[in-house]
Amino acid sequence: MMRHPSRAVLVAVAFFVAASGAWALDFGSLVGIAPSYGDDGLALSFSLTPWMSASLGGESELYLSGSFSVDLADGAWTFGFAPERSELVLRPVAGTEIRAGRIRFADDAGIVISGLYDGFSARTVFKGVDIRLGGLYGGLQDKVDSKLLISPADIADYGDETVLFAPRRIVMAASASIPGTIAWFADALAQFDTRGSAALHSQYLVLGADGSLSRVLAFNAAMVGSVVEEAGFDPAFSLASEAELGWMPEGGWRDRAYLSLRWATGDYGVFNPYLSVNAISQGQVFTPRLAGLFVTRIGYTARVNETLSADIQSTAFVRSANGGPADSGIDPSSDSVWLGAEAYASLRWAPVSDISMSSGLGLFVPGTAFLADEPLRWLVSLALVASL
Amino acid sequence: MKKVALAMFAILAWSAYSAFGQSGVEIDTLLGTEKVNAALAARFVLPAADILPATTTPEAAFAAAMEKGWLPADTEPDTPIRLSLLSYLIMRSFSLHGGAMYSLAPGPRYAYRELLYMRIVQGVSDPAQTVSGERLLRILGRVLDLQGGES
Repeated sequence: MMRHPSRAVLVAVAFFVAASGAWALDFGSLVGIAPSYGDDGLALSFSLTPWMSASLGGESELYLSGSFSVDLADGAWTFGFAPERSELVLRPVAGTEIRAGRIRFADDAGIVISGLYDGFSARTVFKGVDIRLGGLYGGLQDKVDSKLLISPADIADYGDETVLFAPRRIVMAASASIPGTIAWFADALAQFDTRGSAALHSQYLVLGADGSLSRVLAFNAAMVGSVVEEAGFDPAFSLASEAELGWMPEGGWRDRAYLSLRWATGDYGVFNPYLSVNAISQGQVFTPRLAGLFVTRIGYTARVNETLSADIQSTAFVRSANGGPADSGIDPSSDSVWLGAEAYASLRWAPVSDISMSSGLGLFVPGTAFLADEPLRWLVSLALVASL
Repeated sequence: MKKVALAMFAILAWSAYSAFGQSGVEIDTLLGTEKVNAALAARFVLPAADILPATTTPEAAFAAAMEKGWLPADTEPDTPIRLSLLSYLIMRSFSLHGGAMYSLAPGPRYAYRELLYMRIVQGVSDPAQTVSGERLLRILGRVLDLQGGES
Protein backbone atom coordinates (compact mmCIF):
# COMPACT_ATOMS: atom_id res chain seq x y z
CA MET A 1 0.00 0.00 0.00
CA MET A 2 2.70 2.46 0.89
CA ARG A 3 4.67 1.33 -2.17
CA HIS A 4 1.80 2.53 -4.39
CA PRO A 5 0.42 5.56 -2.56
CA SER A 6 -1.26 7.09 -5.63
CA ARG A 7 -3.06 3.83 -6.41
CA ALA A 8 -4.13 3.45 -2.79
CA VAL A 9 -5.49 7.00 -2.70
CA LEU A 10 -7.36 6.48 -6.00
CA VAL A 11 -8.92 3.26 -4.72
CA ALA A 12 -9.92 4.96 -1.46
CA VAL A 13 -11.42 7.95 -3.30
CA ALA A 14 -13.29 5.68 -5.74
CA PHE A 15 -14.59 3.65 -2.82
CA PHE A 16 -15.69 6.79 -0.99
CA VAL A 17 -17.36 8.32 -4.05
CA ALA A 18 -19.14 5.07 -4.85
CA ALA A 19 -20.32 4.76 -1.29
CA SER A 20 -21.47 8.36 -1.03
CA GLY A 21 -23.20 8.27 -4.40
CA ALA A 22 -24.95 4.96 -4.13
CA TRP A 23 -25.87 4.95 -0.48
CA ALA A 24 -26.40 7.36 2.31
CA LEU A 25 -23.54 7.61 4.72
CA ASP A 26 -22.47 9.06 7.99
CA PHE A 27 -19.01 10.37 8.65
CA GLY A 28 -17.05 12.02 11.40
CA SER A 29 -13.73 12.09 13.11
CA LEU A 30 -12.17 11.28 16.45
CA VAL A 31 -9.60 13.69 17.81
CA GLY A 32 -7.35 12.44 20.56
CA ILE A 33 -4.48 13.59 22.70
CA ALA A 34 -2.71 11.18 25.02
CA PRO A 35 0.25 12.27 27.11
CA SER A 36 1.98 9.80 29.39
CA TYR A 37 4.97 10.01 31.69
CA GLY A 38 6.96 7.13 33.02
CA ASP A 39 10.46 5.99 33.76
CA ASP A 40 11.14 6.23 29.97
CA GLY A 41 10.29 9.94 30.08
CA LEU A 42 7.49 11.88 28.43
CA ALA A 43 5.47 10.41 25.59
CA LEU A 44 2.81 12.31 23.72
CA SER A 45 0.42 11.26 21.00
CA PHE A 46 -1.94 13.37 18.90
CA SER A 47 -4.32 11.56 16.60
CA LEU A 48 -7.01 12.37 14.09
CA THR A 49 -9.12 9.41 13.02
CA PRO A 50 -11.63 10.17 10.27
CA TRP A 51 -14.31 7.53 9.71
CA MET A 52 -17.14 6.82 7.35
CA SER A 53 -20.08 4.50 7.80
CA ALA A 54 -22.71 3.56 5.23
CA SER A 55 -25.57 1.13 5.19
CA LEU A 56 -25.66 -0.73 1.88
CA GLY A 57 -29.25 -1.80 2.10
CA GLY A 58 -30.65 -4.70 4.05
CA GLU A 59 -28.38 -5.67 6.89
CA SER A 60 -25.10 -4.85 5.16
CA GLU A 61 -22.80 -1.98 5.98
CA LEU A 62 -19.46 -0.45 5.17
CA TYR A 63 -17.12 1.19 7.69
CA LEU A 64 -13.85 2.88 6.81
CA SER A 65 -11.41 4.60 9.16
CA GLY A 66 -7.79 5.59 9.29
CA SER A 67 -5.60 7.40 11.77
CA PHE A 68 -3.19 10.27 11.27
CA SER A 69 -0.87 10.49 14.24
CA VAL A 70 1.95 12.62 15.58
CA ASP A 71 3.89 10.94 18.38
CA LEU A 72 6.65 11.92 20.72
CA ALA A 73 8.64 9.09 22.28
CA ASP A 74 12.24 8.86 23.46
CA GLY A 75 12.68 12.54 22.58
CA ALA A 76 11.86 12.04 18.90
CA TRP A 77 8.77 13.05 16.94
CA THR A 78 7.25 10.67 14.40
CA PHE A 79 4.36 11.12 12.00
CA GLY A 80 2.24 8.49 10.42
CA PHE A 81 -0.98 7.32 8.84
CA ALA A 82 -2.42 3.87 9.26
CA PRO A 83 -5.71 2.39 8.12
CA GLU A 84 -7.73 1.43 11.17
CA ARG A 85 -10.80 -0.79 11.25
CA SER A 86 -12.16 -0.72 7.70
CA GLU A 87 -14.61 -3.43 6.84
CA LEU A 88 -17.47 -4.51 4.68
CA VAL A 89 -20.05 -6.33 6.78
CA LEU A 90 -22.53 -8.56 4.99
CA ARG A 91 -25.41 -10.34 6.67
CA PRO A 92 -26.97 -12.38 3.86
CA VAL A 93 -29.30 -14.31 6.17
CA ALA A 94 -30.20 -14.04 9.85
CA GLY A 95 -27.43 -15.43 12.04
CA THR A 96 -24.76 -15.26 9.33
CA GLU A 97 -22.21 -12.47 9.17
CA ILE A 98 -19.23 -11.97 6.87
CA ARG A 99 -16.62 -9.31 7.56
CA ALA A 100 -13.90 -8.41 5.07
CA GLY A 101 -11.23 -5.76 5.20
CA ARG A 102 -9.10 -4.65 8.13
CA ILE A 103 -10.95 -6.40 10.91
CA ARG A 104 -10.53 -7.00 14.62
CA PHE A 105 -9.87 -10.65 15.32
CA ALA A 106 -9.19 -12.59 18.47
CA ASP A 107 -9.41 -16.21 19.51
CA ASP A 108 -12.03 -17.14 22.08
CA ALA A 109 -9.46 -17.34 24.89
CA GLY A 110 -7.69 -14.09 23.95
CA ILE A 111 -4.19 -15.52 24.38
CA VAL A 112 -3.33 -16.67 20.85
CA ILE A 113 -4.15 -13.76 18.57
CA SER A 114 -5.69 -10.38 19.21
CA GLY A 115 -5.66 -7.27 17.06
CA LEU A 116 -6.34 -5.77 13.66
CA TYR A 117 -5.64 -8.00 10.65
CA ASP A 118 -6.40 -7.83 6.94
CA GLY A 119 -8.66 -10.56 5.68
CA PHE A 120 -12.08 -11.93 6.38
CA SER A 121 -14.10 -13.68 9.02
CA ALA A 122 -17.39 -15.48 8.55
CA ARG A 123 -19.75 -16.54 11.28
CA THR A 124 -22.87 -18.63 11.10
CA VAL A 125 -25.00 -20.87 13.25
CA PHE A 126 -25.37 -24.49 12.13
CA LYS A 127 -27.56 -26.85 14.13
CA GLY A 128 -27.15 -24.75 17.26
CA VAL A 129 -23.37 -24.51 16.96
CA ASP A 130 -21.81 -21.10 16.39
CA ILE A 131 -19.17 -21.60 13.70
CA ARG A 132 -16.53 -19.04 12.75
CA LEU A 133 -13.92 -19.11 10.01
CA GLY A 134 -11.16 -16.59 9.42
CA GLY A 135 -8.42 -15.94 6.89
CA LEU A 136 -5.99 -13.20 7.93
CA TYR A 137 -2.80 -11.60 6.69
CA GLY A 138 -0.35 -9.55 8.74
CA GLY A 139 1.99 -8.24 6.06
CA LEU A 140 0.08 -5.07 5.22
CA GLN A 141 0.30 -3.62 8.70
CA ASP A 142 2.78 -1.17 10.08
CA LYS A 143 5.39 -3.35 11.79
CA VAL A 144 5.40 -1.32 15.02
CA ASP A 145 1.62 -1.37 15.48
CA SER A 146 1.18 -5.03 14.56
CA LYS A 147 3.27 -6.55 17.40
CA LEU A 148 3.83 -9.55 15.11
CA LEU A 149 7.12 -10.71 16.57
CA ILE A 150 7.63 -14.44 16.69
CA SER A 151 10.91 -15.43 15.10
CA PRO A 152 14.48 -14.05 15.09
CA ALA A 153 13.78 -12.95 11.48
CA ASP A 154 10.83 -10.85 12.74
CA ILE A 155 13.06 -9.20 15.33
CA ALA A 156 15.73 -8.50 12.69
CA ASP A 157 13.09 -6.93 10.39
CA TYR A 158 11.77 -4.90 13.32
CA GLY A 159 15.18 -3.31 13.77
CA ASP A 160 15.69 -2.78 10.03
CA GLU A 161 14.59 0.76 9.10
CA THR A 162 14.15 -0.21 5.44
CA VAL A 163 11.38 -2.65 6.38
CA LEU A 164 8.07 -0.85 6.91
CA PHE A 165 5.58 -3.67 7.12
CA ALA A 166 4.93 -6.45 9.58
CA PRO A 167 6.07 -10.01 8.77
CA ARG A 168 4.17 -11.65 5.92
CA ARG A 169 2.28 -14.17 7.98
CA ILE A 170 -1.05 -15.80 7.14
CA VAL A 171 -3.41 -17.05 9.82
CA MET A 172 -6.24 -19.48 9.12
CA ALA A 173 -8.73 -19.96 11.93
CA ALA A 174 -11.78 -22.12 12.57
CA SER A 175 -13.80 -22.18 15.74
CA ALA A 176 -16.98 -23.67 17.05
CA SER A 177 -18.88 -22.82 20.19
CA ILE A 178 -21.96 -24.30 21.74
CA PRO A 179 -24.00 -21.51 23.33
CA GLY A 180 -25.64 -21.96 26.69
CA THR A 181 -25.48 -20.85 30.31
CA ILE A 182 -22.01 -22.28 30.03
CA ALA A 183 -20.71 -21.97 26.47
CA TRP A 184 -18.06 -24.44 25.33
CA PHE A 185 -15.68 -23.45 22.58
CA ALA A 186 -12.88 -24.90 20.49
CA ASP A 187 -10.57 -22.92 18.21
CA ALA A 188 -8.01 -24.23 15.76
CA LEU A 189 -5.52 -21.74 14.32
CA ALA A 190 -2.64 -22.21 11.91
CA GLN A 191 -0.07 -19.51 11.27
CA PHE A 192 2.11 -19.72 8.16
CA ASP A 193 5.23 -17.70 7.50
CA THR A 194 5.33 -16.94 3.75
CA ARG A 195 8.93 -15.72 3.68
CA GLY A 196 10.48 -19.04 2.77
CA SER A 197 13.91 -19.33 4.37
CA ALA A 198 14.04 -19.35 8.16
CA ALA A 199 10.26 -19.62 8.18
CA LEU A 200 8.48 -20.24 11.46
CA HIS A 201 5.00 -21.77 11.36
CA SER A 202 2.79 -22.41 14.36
CA GLN A 203 -0.49 -24.18 15.12
CA TYR A 204 -2.79 -23.80 18.08
CA LEU A 205 -5.71 -25.72 19.54
CA VAL A 206 -7.82 -23.87 22.09
CA LEU A 207 -10.43 -25.56 24.30
CA GLY A 208 -12.44 -23.66 26.86
CA ALA A 209 -15.69 -22.57 28.39
CA ASP A 210 -17.28 -19.42 29.69
CA GLY A 211 -20.54 -18.69 31.38
CA SER A 212 -22.40 -17.96 34.56
CA LEU A 213 -22.13 -19.97 37.75
CA SER A 214 -24.88 -17.99 39.43
CA ARG A 215 -26.59 -14.62 39.08
CA VAL A 216 -23.50 -12.87 40.42
CA LEU A 217 -20.67 -15.20 39.45
CA ALA A 218 -19.21 -15.60 35.96
CA PHE A 219 -16.15 -17.44 34.77
CA ASN A 220 -14.10 -18.30 31.75
CA ALA A 221 -11.29 -20.81 31.37
CA ALA A 222 -9.29 -22.09 28.45
CA MET A 223 -6.27 -24.21 27.63
CA VAL A 224 -4.08 -23.81 24.54
CA GLY A 225 -1.80 -26.44 23.06
CA SER A 226 0.67 -25.20 20.47
CA VAL A 227 3.22 -26.62 18.05
CA VAL A 228 5.89 -24.39 16.51
CA GLU A 229 7.77 -25.54 13.41
CA GLU A 230 10.89 -23.58 12.65
CA ALA A 231 13.21 -24.35 9.74
CA GLY A 232 16.19 -26.36 11.01
CA PHE A 233 14.62 -27.22 14.38
CA ASP A 234 12.45 -30.01 15.72
CA PRO A 235 8.79 -29.19 16.36
CA ALA A 236 8.42 -27.35 19.67
CA PHE A 237 5.44 -27.98 21.94
CA SER A 238 4.04 -25.50 24.42
CA LEU A 239 0.97 -24.94 26.57
CA ALA A 240 -0.85 -21.87 27.85
CA SER A 241 -3.98 -21.38 29.89
CA GLU A 242 -6.16 -18.68 31.33
CA ALA A 243 -8.97 -18.56 33.86
CA GLU A 244 -10.99 -15.73 35.29
CA LEU A 245 -13.67 -15.56 37.94
CA GLY A 246 -15.84 -12.45 38.09
CA TRP A 247 -18.23 -11.40 40.84
CA MET A 248 -20.88 -8.80 40.07
CA PRO A 249 -22.73 -7.64 43.18
CA GLU A 250 -26.45 -7.17 42.64
CA GLY A 251 -27.90 -3.70 42.25
CA GLY A 252 -26.04 -0.46 41.65
CA TRP A 253 -24.12 0.18 38.43
CA ARG A 254 -22.83 -3.35 37.84
CA ASP A 255 -19.54 -3.23 39.73
CA ARG A 256 -17.26 -6.20 39.15
CA ALA A 257 -14.53 -7.86 41.19
CA TYR A 258 -12.30 -10.27 39.34
CA LEU A 259 -9.51 -12.75 39.82
CA SER A 260 -7.61 -13.91 36.76
CA LEU A 261 -4.79 -16.37 36.23
CA ARG A 262 -2.64 -16.80 33.15
CA TRP A 263 0.10 -19.30 32.68
CA ALA A 264 2.32 -20.44 29.81
CA THR A 265 5.18 -22.90 29.57
CA GLY A 266 8.82 -21.92 29.38
CA ASP A 267 11.70 -24.33 28.74
CA TYR A 268 10.79 -27.38 30.78
CA GLY A 269 11.19 -31.00 29.68
CA VAL A 270 9.44 -31.51 26.36
CA PHE A 271 7.89 -28.06 26.55
CA ASN A 272 9.16 -24.81 25.07
CA PRO A 273 8.32 -21.14 25.62
CA TYR A 274 4.81 -20.41 24.39
CA LEU A 275 4.60 -18.16 21.30
CA SER A 276 1.33 -16.36 20.62
CA VAL A 277 0.77 -15.10 17.05
CA ASN A 278 1.17 -11.51 18.17
CA ALA A 279 2.53 -10.16 21.43
CA ILE A 280 -0.27 -9.75 23.98
CA SER A 281 0.95 -7.66 26.93
CA GLN A 282 0.27 -9.09 30.36
CA GLY A 283 0.63 -5.89 32.37
CA GLN A 284 0.20 -2.13 32.20
CA VAL A 285 3.61 -0.89 33.40
CA PHE A 286 5.59 -4.14 33.13
CA THR A 287 4.45 -5.63 29.81
CA PRO A 288 5.92 -9.11 29.29
CA ARG A 289 4.65 -11.60 26.75
CA LEU A 290 2.90 -14.69 28.02
CA ALA A 291 5.83 -17.10 27.80
CA GLY A 292 7.37 -18.93 30.73
CA LEU A 293 5.15 -16.82 32.93
CA PHE A 294 2.49 -17.14 35.59
CA VAL A 295 0.37 -14.02 36.07
CA THR A 296 -2.12 -13.54 38.89
CA ARG A 297 -4.36 -10.49 38.82
CA ILE A 298 -7.00 -9.31 41.24
CA GLY A 299 -9.03 -6.22 40.63
CA TYR A 300 -12.25 -4.30 41.10
CA THR A 301 -14.13 -2.22 38.57
CA ALA A 302 -16.66 0.25 39.90
CA ARG A 303 -19.13 2.34 38.00
CA VAL A 304 -19.44 5.35 40.26
CA ASN A 305 -22.28 6.77 38.20
CA GLU A 306 -23.48 6.82 34.62
CA THR A 307 -20.46 8.82 33.43
CA LEU A 308 -17.61 7.76 35.70
CA SER A 309 -15.98 4.36 36.14
CA ALA A 310 -12.85 3.30 37.97
CA ASP A 311 -10.70 0.20 38.03
CA ILE A 312 -7.99 -0.82 40.44
CA GLN A 313 -5.93 -3.97 40.02
CA SER A 314 -2.89 -5.68 41.39
CA THR A 315 -0.81 -8.15 39.38
CA ALA A 316 1.94 -10.56 40.40
CA PHE A 317 4.42 -12.00 37.89
CA VAL A 318 6.30 -15.27 38.39
CA ARG A 319 8.52 -16.73 35.68
CA SER A 320 9.52 -20.27 34.94
CA ALA A 321 13.07 -21.27 35.79
CA ASN A 322 13.98 -21.23 32.08
CA GLY A 323 12.45 -19.56 29.05
CA GLY A 324 10.75 -16.72 30.88
CA PRO A 325 10.16 -13.25 29.46
CA ALA A 326 13.09 -11.13 28.29
CA ASP A 327 13.72 -7.72 29.86
CA SER A 328 16.79 -5.50 29.97
CA GLY A 329 16.48 -5.19 33.76
CA ILE A 330 16.46 -8.93 34.54
CA ASP A 331 19.64 -10.24 36.18
CA PRO A 332 21.02 -12.95 33.84
CA SER A 333 22.74 -14.65 36.77
CA SER A 334 19.62 -14.78 38.94
CA ASP A 335 17.71 -18.03 39.28
CA SER A 336 14.87 -16.39 41.17
CA VAL A 337 11.42 -16.87 39.64
CA TRP A 338 9.94 -13.78 41.31
CA LEU A 339 9.60 -11.05 38.67
CA GLY A 340 7.68 -8.59 40.78
CA ALA A 341 4.26 -7.02 41.30
CA GLU A 342 2.34 -4.19 39.76
CA ALA A 343 -0.49 -1.96 40.98
CA TYR A 344 -2.55 -0.01 38.49
CA ALA A 345 -5.54 2.29 38.86
CA SER A 346 -7.52 3.90 36.09
CA LEU A 347 -10.45 6.26 35.74
CA ARG A 348 -12.74 6.83 32.78
CA TRP A 349 -15.06 9.79 32.61
CA ALA A 350 -17.46 10.38 29.74
CA PRO A 351 -19.46 13.45 30.80
CA VAL A 352 -21.28 13.60 27.46
CA SER A 353 -21.68 11.26 24.53
CA ASP A 354 -18.86 12.71 22.41
CA ILE A 355 -16.13 13.48 24.94
CA SER A 356 -14.30 11.00 27.09
CA MET A 357 -11.28 11.22 29.33
CA SER A 358 -9.28 8.44 30.86
CA SER A 359 -6.29 8.39 33.11
CA GLY A 360 -4.09 5.72 34.59
CA LEU A 361 -1.52 5.48 37.33
CA GLY A 362 0.69 2.44 37.72
CA LEU A 363 3.70 1.23 39.69
CA PHE A 364 5.79 -1.90 39.11
CA VAL A 365 8.03 -3.14 41.89
CA PRO A 366 10.75 -5.39 40.41
CA GLY A 367 11.28 -8.71 42.17
CA THR A 368 14.39 -10.65 43.02
CA ALA A 369 14.83 -11.83 39.40
CA PHE A 370 15.81 -8.27 38.47
CA LEU A 371 19.17 -6.59 38.97
CA ALA A 372 19.61 -5.32 42.52
CA ASP A 373 19.72 -1.68 41.42
CA GLU A 374 16.72 -1.92 39.11
CA PRO A 375 14.53 1.09 39.97
CA LEU A 376 10.78 1.11 40.42
CA ARG A 377 8.91 1.50 37.16
CA TRP A 378 5.91 3.77 36.96
CA LEU A 379 3.51 5.27 34.49
CA VAL A 380 1.06 8.17 34.55
CA SER A 381 -1.18 8.51 31.53
CA LEU A 382 -4.03 10.67 30.37
CA ALA A 383 -6.15 10.45 27.23
CA LEU A 384 -8.77 12.82 25.92
CA VAL A 385 -10.92 11.84 22.95
CA ALA A 386 -13.53 14.01 21.27
CA SER A 387 -15.88 12.81 18.56
CA LEU A 388 -16.68 15.42 15.90
CA MET B 1 -39.92 -19.10 14.91
CA LYS B 2 -42.91 -17.59 13.07
CA LYS B 3 -45.07 -18.02 16.17
CA VAL B 4 -42.51 -16.19 18.27
CA ALA B 5 -42.34 -13.37 15.71
CA LEU B 6 -46.14 -13.10 15.63
CA ALA B 7 -46.29 -13.03 19.42
CA MET B 8 -43.61 -10.32 19.52
CA PHE B 9 -45.52 -8.35 16.96
CA ALA B 10 -48.75 -8.62 18.94
CA ILE B 11 -46.97 -7.52 22.14
CA LEU B 12 -45.40 -4.61 20.27
CA ALA B 13 -48.76 -3.49 18.90
CA TRP B 14 -50.44 -3.83 22.28
CA SER B 15 -47.61 -1.90 23.97
CA ALA B 16 -47.88 0.85 21.41
CA TYR B 17 -51.62 1.04 21.87
CA SER B 18 -51.37 1.33 25.63
CA ALA B 19 -48.33 3.63 25.65
CA PHE B 20 -49.39 6.13 23.06
CA GLY B 21 -53.13 5.94 23.44
CA GLN B 22 -53.75 5.67 19.71
CA SER B 23 -56.50 3.56 18.25
CA GLY B 24 -55.84 0.02 17.14
CA VAL B 25 -56.63 0.96 13.56
CA GLU B 26 -54.01 3.71 13.61
CA ILE B 27 -51.42 1.37 15.08
CA ASP B 28 -52.24 -1.23 12.45
CA THR B 29 -51.86 1.39 9.75
CA LEU B 30 -48.54 2.53 11.20
CA LEU B 31 -47.20 -1.02 11.46
CA GLY B 32 -48.09 -1.53 7.82
CA THR B 33 -46.29 1.64 6.73
CA GLU B 34 -42.98 1.03 5.01
CA LYS B 35 -41.90 4.68 4.93
CA VAL B 36 -43.38 6.89 7.63
CA ASN B 37 -43.92 10.44 6.43
CA ALA B 38 -43.21 13.58 8.40
CA ALA B 39 -46.83 14.17 9.40
CA LEU B 40 -47.37 10.63 10.65
CA ALA B 41 -44.07 10.73 12.55
CA ALA B 42 -45.09 13.98 14.24
CA ARG B 43 -48.51 12.49 15.00
CA PHE B 44 -46.89 9.71 17.04
CA VAL B 45 -43.87 11.51 18.51
CA LEU B 46 -45.53 14.64 19.87
CA PRO B 47 -48.34 12.84 21.75
CA ALA B 48 -45.79 10.33 23.10
CA ALA B 49 -43.90 13.31 24.52
CA ASP B 50 -47.13 14.68 26.02
CA ILE B 51 -46.93 17.78 23.84
CA LEU B 52 -50.21 17.07 22.06
CA PRO B 53 -53.18 14.95 23.06
CA ALA B 54 -53.32 11.35 21.86
CA THR B 55 -56.30 12.20 19.69
CA THR B 56 -54.41 14.72 17.56
CA THR B 57 -54.32 14.39 13.78
CA PRO B 58 -51.22 14.05 11.60
CA GLU B 59 -51.93 17.46 10.08
CA ALA B 60 -52.18 19.18 13.48
CA ALA B 61 -49.06 17.42 14.79
CA PHE B 62 -47.10 18.33 11.67
CA ALA B 63 -48.20 21.97 11.97
CA ALA B 64 -47.14 22.03 15.63
CA ALA B 65 -43.71 20.55 14.83
CA MET B 66 -43.20 23.06 12.02
CA GLU B 67 -44.28 25.94 14.23
CA LYS B 68 -41.76 24.96 16.89
CA GLY B 69 -39.01 24.68 14.27
CA TRP B 70 -38.43 20.98 14.95
CA LEU B 71 -38.75 20.16 11.26
CA PRO B 72 -37.00 22.11 8.48
CA ALA B 73 -39.09 24.82 6.82
CA ASP B 74 -39.11 23.02 3.46
CA THR B 75 -40.49 19.76 4.88
CA GLU B 76 -43.66 18.52 3.22
CA PRO B 77 -46.12 16.55 5.36
CA ASP B 78 -46.04 13.57 3.01
CA THR B 79 -42.25 13.47 2.64
CA PRO B 80 -40.81 10.19 4.02
CA ILE B 81 -38.98 11.17 7.19
CA ARG B 82 -35.27 10.39 7.42
CA LEU B 83 -33.77 8.79 10.50
CA SER B 84 -31.71 11.91 11.28
CA LEU B 85 -34.76 14.16 11.09
CA LEU B 86 -36.81 11.78 13.20
CA SER B 87 -33.95 11.79 15.72
CA TYR B 88 -34.02 15.59 15.91
CA LEU B 89 -37.80 15.61 16.30
CA ILE B 90 -37.47 13.13 19.17
CA MET B 91 -34.59 15.00 20.83
CA ARG B 92 -36.55 18.25 20.79
CA SER B 93 -39.94 16.77 21.66
CA PHE B 94 -38.62 14.85 24.66
CA SER B 95 -36.15 17.61 25.63
CA LEU B 96 -33.28 15.12 25.60
CA HIS B 97 -29.83 16.47 26.39
CA GLY B 98 -27.13 15.91 23.82
CA GLY B 99 -23.36 15.92 23.82
CA ALA B 100 -20.96 18.77 23.22
CA MET B 101 -21.41 18.82 19.45
CA TYR B 102 -25.20 18.69 19.71
CA SER B 103 -25.09 21.59 22.16
CA LEU B 104 -22.87 23.58 19.79
CA ALA B 105 -24.72 22.71 16.61
CA PRO B 106 -28.15 21.26 17.41
CA GLY B 107 -29.58 19.60 14.35
CA PRO B 108 -30.44 16.26 12.75
CA ARG B 109 -26.77 15.18 12.30
CA TYR B 110 -25.84 15.20 15.96
CA ALA B 111 -29.35 14.26 17.12
CA TYR B 112 -28.94 11.01 15.17
CA ARG B 113 -25.55 10.41 16.80
CA GLU B 114 -27.08 10.97 20.25
CA LEU B 115 -29.83 8.42 19.68
CA LEU B 116 -27.21 5.94 18.45
CA TYR B 117 -25.13 6.55 21.59
CA MET B 118 -28.18 6.08 23.80
CA ARG B 119 -28.97 2.88 21.88
CA ILE B 120 -32.38 4.26 21.03
CA VAL B 121 -31.53 3.75 17.35
CA GLN B 122 -30.32 0.17 16.95
CA GLY B 123 -29.33 -2.12 14.11
CA VAL B 124 -27.84 -1.17 10.77
CA SER B 125 -28.61 2.48 10.16
CA ASP B 126 -27.54 5.68 8.52
CA PRO B 127 -28.90 9.19 8.88
CA ALA B 128 -30.61 9.21 5.48
CA GLN B 129 -32.54 5.98 5.99
CA THR B 130 -36.30 6.14 5.80
CA VAL B 131 -38.17 4.73 8.78
CA SER B 132 -40.81 2.02 8.81
CA GLY B 133 -43.77 2.21 11.15
CA GLU B 134 -42.51 -0.76 13.12
CA ARG B 135 -39.09 0.87 13.58
CA LEU B 136 -40.72 4.14 14.68
CA LEU B 137 -42.66 2.28 17.36
CA ARG B 138 -39.53 0.48 18.55
CA ILE B 139 -37.62 3.75 18.72
CA LEU B 140 -40.41 5.49 20.63
CA GLY B 141 -40.63 2.50 22.96
CA ARG B 142 -36.94 2.83 23.84
CA VAL B 143 -37.29 6.58 24.41
CA LEU B 144 -40.19 5.99 26.78
CA ASP B 145 -38.22 3.23 28.53
CA LEU B 146 -35.31 5.60 28.97
CA GLN B 147 -37.54 8.33 30.32
CA GLY B 148 -39.16 5.86 32.68
CA GLY B 149 -35.74 4.80 33.89
CA GLU B 150 -34.66 8.37 34.50
CA SER B 151 -37.80 9.53 36.27
